[in-house]
Amino acid sequence: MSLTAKDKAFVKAFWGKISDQADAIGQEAVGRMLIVYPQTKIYFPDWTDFSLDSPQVKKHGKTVMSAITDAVGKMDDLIGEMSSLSDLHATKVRLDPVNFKILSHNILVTLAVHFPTDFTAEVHVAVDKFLAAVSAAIADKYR
Amino acid sequence: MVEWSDSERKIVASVWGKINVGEIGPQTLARVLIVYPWTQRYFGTFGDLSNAAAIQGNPKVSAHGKTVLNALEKAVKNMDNIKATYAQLSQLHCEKLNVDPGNFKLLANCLTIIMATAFGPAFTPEVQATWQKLLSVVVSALTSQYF
Repeated sequence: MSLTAKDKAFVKAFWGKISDQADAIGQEAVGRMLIVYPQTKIYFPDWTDFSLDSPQVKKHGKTVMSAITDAVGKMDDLIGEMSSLSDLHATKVRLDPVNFKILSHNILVTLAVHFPTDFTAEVHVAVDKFLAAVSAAIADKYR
Repeated sequence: MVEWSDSERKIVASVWGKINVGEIGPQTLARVLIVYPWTQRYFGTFGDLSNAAAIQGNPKVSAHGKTVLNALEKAVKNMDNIKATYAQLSQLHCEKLNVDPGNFKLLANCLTIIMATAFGPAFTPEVQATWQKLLSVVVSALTSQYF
């Protein structure tokens, strides 16, 4: 389900609107994920605070969302551009691929909460496809 | 049997009380057809589904969206017996409609996102967790008669 020119245009335009809140969006998406899907806490064994405003959640949300924002500019070759992140997730994090969909869903929910007018049906499908493409790029080295 | 805390029951009742079925139903079905276009195969008699605007303006989509969301009320009113409540609908979806059960989860995800849009920050992580728990029980119940 590759990204069309129209998808890329929708993603770029929407990201232009949200980019100054990217860190907060990342924080909330990760925070929601940990609350709604508590099994995801397994990847953070040294964390002490899993609440929405925890500094650990805030920091990790920023890390994740920065990489995704970065990927907006790399949509023409996500697999190539995200190769080292793929290595990391495959060998060090060993993130179960089921979690890509879980985090993506929580990003979409967070976007819907904060951008009800801009997060239209057409933006939704484009961003969903983009996040799926990013997930596939990160999973590329898994086996 | 699914256990519901008092807090979860309150959240479900409160959320349902605020949902405008006439708006949320049509928006949700339209969203499924737009974001997951292969689902359009189940609605061959609905007319023009050729683009997002056509889907959103389609009166059959709107009417059916209301039907689907109204059926969710069964779960809200029978939280302790959701599986039995949906047994007939499960049979219908399996034997007559031949809907792949994977699609129930897609609808649940779209409904969650439409509600997040409608409720804004009031759709807190706790509300999201409770609501998604309800939807996953419904999805499970709708799948229960498949085999």
